[in-house]
Formats: sequence, C-alpha cells, structure tokens
Amino acid sequence: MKQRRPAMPASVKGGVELRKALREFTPDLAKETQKELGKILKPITAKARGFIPSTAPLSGWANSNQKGSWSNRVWSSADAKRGIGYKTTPSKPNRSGFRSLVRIQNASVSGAIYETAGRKNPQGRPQAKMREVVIPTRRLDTGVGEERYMTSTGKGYGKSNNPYAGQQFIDALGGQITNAYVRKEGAVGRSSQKMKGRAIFRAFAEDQGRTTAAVIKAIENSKTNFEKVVAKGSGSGLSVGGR
Amino acid sequence: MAADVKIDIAAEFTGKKAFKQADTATQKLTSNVKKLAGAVGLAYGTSAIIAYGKASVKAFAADEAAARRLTTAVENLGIGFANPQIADYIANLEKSAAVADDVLRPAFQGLLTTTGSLIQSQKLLNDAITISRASGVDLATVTEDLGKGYVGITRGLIKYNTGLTRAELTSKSFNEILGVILKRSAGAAEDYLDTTAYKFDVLSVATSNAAEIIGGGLVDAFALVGGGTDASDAAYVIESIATALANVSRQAGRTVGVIPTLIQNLKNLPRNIFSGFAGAQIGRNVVIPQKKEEVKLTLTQKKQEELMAKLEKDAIKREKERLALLNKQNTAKKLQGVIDKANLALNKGEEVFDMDKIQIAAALTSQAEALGKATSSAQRLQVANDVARLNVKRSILDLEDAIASKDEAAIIAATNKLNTDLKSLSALTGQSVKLSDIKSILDSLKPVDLINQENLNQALRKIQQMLDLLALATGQSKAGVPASSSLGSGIPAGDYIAPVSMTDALAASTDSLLEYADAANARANAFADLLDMQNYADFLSLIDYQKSVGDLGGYSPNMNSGAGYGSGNTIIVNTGVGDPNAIAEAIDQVLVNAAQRGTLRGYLAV
Repeated sequence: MKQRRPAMPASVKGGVELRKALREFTPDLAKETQKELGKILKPITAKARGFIPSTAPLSGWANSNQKGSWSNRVWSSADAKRGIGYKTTPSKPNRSGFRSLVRIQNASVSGAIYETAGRKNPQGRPQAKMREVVIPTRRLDTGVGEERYMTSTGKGYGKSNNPYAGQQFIDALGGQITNAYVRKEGAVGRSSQKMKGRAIFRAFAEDQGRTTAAVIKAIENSKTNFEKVVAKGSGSGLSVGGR
Repeated sequence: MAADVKIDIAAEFTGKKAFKQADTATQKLTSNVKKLAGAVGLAYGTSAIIAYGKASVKAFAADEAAARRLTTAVENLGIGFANPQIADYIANLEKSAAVADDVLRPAFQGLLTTTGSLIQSQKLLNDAITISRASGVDLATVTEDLGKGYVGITRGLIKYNTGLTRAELTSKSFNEILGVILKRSAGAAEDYLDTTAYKFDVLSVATSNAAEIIGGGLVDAFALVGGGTDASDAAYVIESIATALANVSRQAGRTVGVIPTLIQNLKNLPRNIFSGFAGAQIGRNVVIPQKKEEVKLTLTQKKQEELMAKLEKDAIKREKERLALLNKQNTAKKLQGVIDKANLALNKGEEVFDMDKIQIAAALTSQAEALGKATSSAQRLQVANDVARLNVKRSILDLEDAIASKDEAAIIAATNKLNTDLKSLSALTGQSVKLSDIKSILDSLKPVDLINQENLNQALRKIQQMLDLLALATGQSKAGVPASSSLGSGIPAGDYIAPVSMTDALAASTDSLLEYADAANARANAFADLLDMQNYADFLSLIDYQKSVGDLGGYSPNMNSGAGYGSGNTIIVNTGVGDPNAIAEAIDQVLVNAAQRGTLRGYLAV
C-alpha cells in the first residue's frame, strides 16, 4: 500500500550548508543558534511531556515480567517522558530527498505507543472474520485425519482472540488524539494521518505554528549573522575560515 | 517505529538519490570534456579551474625541463646553434607521428648522446617509431634498445621477434639486425596512421600541448603577480588564490556570483586572462609586460656547416674506433679459442707421445724379457729392483696427471699406488729381501695363466661324473617293472629292519624312536608297493596262461560264468623262489581280485 507523504515541513534552502559553515567558521554563532532553537523548542516538548500519564494506562503494561514481543514495550512514564525531545542535527535524506533540520520526536517505545495508538483505528484494529483452518494430518494411532480450528489473525488485523482488545486498549489509554496537520487551502484528497497523536502532536497542534515560525526565524537570523561575520572578516582582509 | 513519531519543523530538499546517480554518471561522462573545457575557460567551478591550472603548470614545467635537458645535451655536443632545428624536428615529428614531445625529447636526447650524430639520431628515432608501432613496445624502450644496439649491446633487440638466434644477434652487426627488424616492421607506421588509436594519440598530444601552453601562460602570469619570474612564485600565487577561492566558496553561496564572472573573464580575455583574474581577486592591477625578444649571437652558415661536419666526422670516427675495438676483441676471442683448441690437441698428443711413459713402458717390457732369461736369484733380484723403480716413476707420472686433471678420485688412487710402489722399492733397497716380495713383484710381470692344466683336468673329472650320473638316470628310466623272477618277492633276503630292543628303546630319545618308526613305516610302504606291482604282473601272467590252455574253454568274456566252467582242475602257479607266505598272499589276492571282477566263481584250494 502506498504510503502517503507526511505534511511538508517548512522548507529551508542551504540549511545543511549553513549549519556546517556556522560550526566551521563561527562556532560561537553556531552555539548561539543552538541555544536559541532550544529555547524555542523546549516549551513545546515540555508540554508534550505533560501529556504523558504518570502511571501506566493499563495496570498490566507496567509489569516488567512481560514476555514475547511486549517484553521491550513495558510502560515507563520516565522513559516515555525522556523520549520526548528535539533534535537539530540534519537527518539522512528520506526517499523524497528531504533532510530534516529541526524536529521534535517521541523516541521511546512505550511513549510512541501512547502517542499513536488509535490514531489510525480509533476503535482498535478490526478483528478479521473468524475462519476455520483445516490441516490434514496422518497420525499413527488414528490414521488419516485432520485438525480444525478457528482463527481471525491476519496482517492489519487485531491478533488477539478478544475482538474488543484493541478498543479496550485505546479506551484505557485515554488522552486526546489531535491532528497537527494544517490542511492547505485548495488541497484535495484525504489528508495524512501521520500528524496525529496524544503528546507531541497534540502539543504541536496547540502551539499553532508559533514554534515553526520561531525556528525559521532563528535559522534566518543565524544566516544573517553569519553573513555579517563573513562580510566583516572579508572586508578586513582576514580569513573567515577556521583552517 | 519510534523514528516515525516525529515532527519535522524545518527540512531541506537535498535531491533524490536517483538525481545524484545521474549527476555522478554525468560527471564521469564529461570528466575529459571538463578538462578540455577548462582549457578554454569553460570550467564549471573554482576547484576545476585551480586543479587544471595546477596540472597545466606542472605539465608545462615538465615539458620545459625536458626541453632544457635536450638543449643542454645539444650544446654539449658543440652544436647549440642546431637547437631551433631540433625543436622544429621534434615538433614536426610530434605532429606527424602523434607522439608527444615529452616522449620524443628524452628519446632523441638518448640517441644523440649515444651516437654523437645528429643525422644518425634522427634516423634511429624514426626507425624507433616505426618499430614501436609495429611491435607495440613503447617508444622509450625501443629507443633505449636501439641505442644499446648501436654500441654493440644487442641483447635487448631479441624482443622484437627478429627471428635471429641469440648467437646471431651477437655475431651480426647492429645495422644488419636493424635491417632485419625494419624489414619486418615495414608499413607499420603508415598503417597506424589510419587507426583510431592514432586519432586518439593526436587528441592526446593536442590536449597535452594545450595544458603545457596554458601552464606556460599561467606560470608567466602568476609569477608576475607573485613579484617574481620563477615557477615557484607562480606556484605560491596559485596556492594563495586557490585557498582564497575555496574560502570564498564556503561563504554560503557568495561565490555563486563570482564564478560566472570569473568564467566570463576567462572566456573574454584571451591573453591576460589570468593576470586580470588574479589581479581582480587580490585587488591589484597587474599588467604583464611584453616579453622582450632575446637577442643571441648566431654563427655564420659556414661555421655551422663546419661544426656539423665535424660532429658527423667525429661520430664516424668514434664508430670506426668502436668497430676497431670490437674487431680487436673478436680477434682476441678467436685467437684464444684457437689456442684453447691447440692446447687440447697438444694434451692429447702429450698423452700419446709422452716420452717418459714410453720409456717406462719399454723398460718394463725389457725387464719382463730379462726375467724370462734370468737363471739365478741375483738376476731375479736385480730385475725386481728395476721393476720396482720403474713402477714408482710411472706412479709419480700418473699422480702428476691426476693432480693436473683435478680429479680427486684419480689423485687418491694414484697416491695409493705410489705409496704401494714406494713400499716395495723400500723393501728391496733395505736388503731385507724376502722371496715372497720378489715373487710378488715378478709375478706382476708374468702374463696371466689363461690355461691351467690342473683346472682343466678337474673340470674334465667333473664332466665325467655328470655323464655317469646322466647314464644312470637314463638306464633307470628305461628299466621295466621288476618281476618276481628277478626280485622274487621283492624283498631281499635279510633285508628287513630288526625290531628295536627294549634296552635300546629305553635308552633312545623320543625323537629318535619316532624317526625310526617313520623310517620303518616308509620302508614297509615301499615294499608294499613293490608287492602290488608283483601281484599285478602275476595276474597278467595268469591271464596269459589261461589263454594258452584251451581246455578251460580258452579265453572268452564269459568263460568263468558258462555252464562248462571247469571245476576240480589243478592250476599250478609258477612263482619262482621266494617267501612262501608272500607268494600265497599274492595268489590269494589275485583270486580275490578275480572274484571281485566276476571272472572267478567258486573257490580254489591254494
């Protein structure tokens, strides 16, 4: 199934080169820019952390004796909160050729589950239709025969035998799934569902774009300051390079 | 999973991977074009310009150095006035043969210094190009080989598949070998002109020359900018400009506005582009002064011709000297070979006509004759003494020969022989003469006794014994079955093995008793076999007898089963003299056998 492209972030030209130039020629300015970005991003991350519940949404989720695939998904409020943060290092290009310059992320496993559970299927993943599986057998004691059982598993479907498991899980999580995607005027088609969540997306949505604007402004400011420094160094006949 | 849970606030489009691959392919495809474009001011960036500029300067420097070396070499030959002609020759050859001048110059220089002749060098260089085209060997190697071959070292010429053996390469003159090579390479140079490789060579030469030309201009321009005239000044300026440009290019796109201007300047300013460019970059107004023509004193045409003639004359003279020296060496080698052969023959002759050996051999023969005529012990002693001395002398000569031949085994053998002879001589001269010593010495003079009568008689006796045994065996094989008439019962009278007494049996060992028992048993078996034969003979005799007496109805298959089978007849069996019991047993056995065969019914009284 073709994935929809997430909402386009604010596009910056020369951001990666600017960051390199800042670090190489004006390290102080680079640090200053980092601090400024931190000041802008920390409020929104703090707010997002506030949306993380202090106790396990489901009592058994915090049980550290989980087995199987849930053994590394044990709930930890501290981890979930600690996983929310921001990064300003350029990422690898995605398949569309974009490199993220500034981003807010929810990196912990349990936090990501809390963030995203139910954003695609608010009532939980649907249960597949029960179907009967027939397996021919040949046993020494009873001879040729067959085994039959009912199952409802399948990709994209709930794997629990409880058809209401997904619904119950989402209901127990609580919180509020908010869509942070701002639909552009005149846009058609179904909007992306990947900007929805309970923590960082909710905080980002409630921010209403102020953080984005501040980040872009900070980058522009750093570029301007860098150009000033370069012009100053060039005019004085001094090399602006660190090497 | 978790990585997807993020919000990108700011991002930059850096291009898709596919775009990058296409860019890379394009860069590879146009790499050479870039070089050429750089030469005409169409470089795409500062790095390309700087890199090409540095490469051009380097190429120019290398070319200039090679040219200077050649010039110096020509001047050292005393024909410095010929440098312009040589330069023209190199330039023309470069164009016609599509061989770069930086290859031609060292090759020509090598040939010129080797031959000392301008004409010969030019000829050899042309030949080298032809051979290089034909053989595929690079021109530098061919030139080096030809240069060595010119001075008599023809070993390297074998690689050109001349068809000549190594010995022929050594014996033939260089001109002969070169003729063979050129004959095999004929037409290769002309054919090469039609190949694509030649066209590539032409392009390559043109590109290299372009680089050198531009490099020359860069050196001049940058050297002036740097306040000097040397290439080092130019290199300093280039490095500085490169650093400055690189730094500028890092300034967040500010360079973008510089490069087009730079390229435009490069395109529009044909001569002073680099000075203008450099001056613009560093804020100096650089003006390159026109290069003054150097005024050189030139020799008159006559003088030049004289010098050239002298050069060629010297070259010819040196070649003659070299050939004379070579002939002298060859003559010396031939002479040495003849001497070696003579020595070899002489050695053989010495062996055949070695007077010492002849004398010793004759003396020994004479002594042998004297020994035959000797009648007294004193005469024999004198002969033995002389023979011992002759043997010592012969051994000494043999030892000398062995030492001369350096044959270790022969030396050891000769030494041992000499020691033995000396011992014999010492014994004779010490007056402690023993008859056996004298006899051994004299025996060595005697011929070997080929026919020994005693041995012959002994052999004849052996042969006679063998014949006797053979006759006996033949007679036994032809002897008939022993009959009772000759052997009786077959057991000679008194021929039996007496039983062992108790005393002897107790005294004897078990092994001896067993041996005795086996012997007795074997003997009894032998006599039993003999008895069987006798019985069979008796049976045949009986049958014959039955055939002879007709009263019994004669012999018929059913004579013993018919009604007329006689009874109560008395049959007398002539058994001869023997053991009665044995005879009776034999008769009984005959009857039993007859009854078993069915030829006898009833019983007979024996």
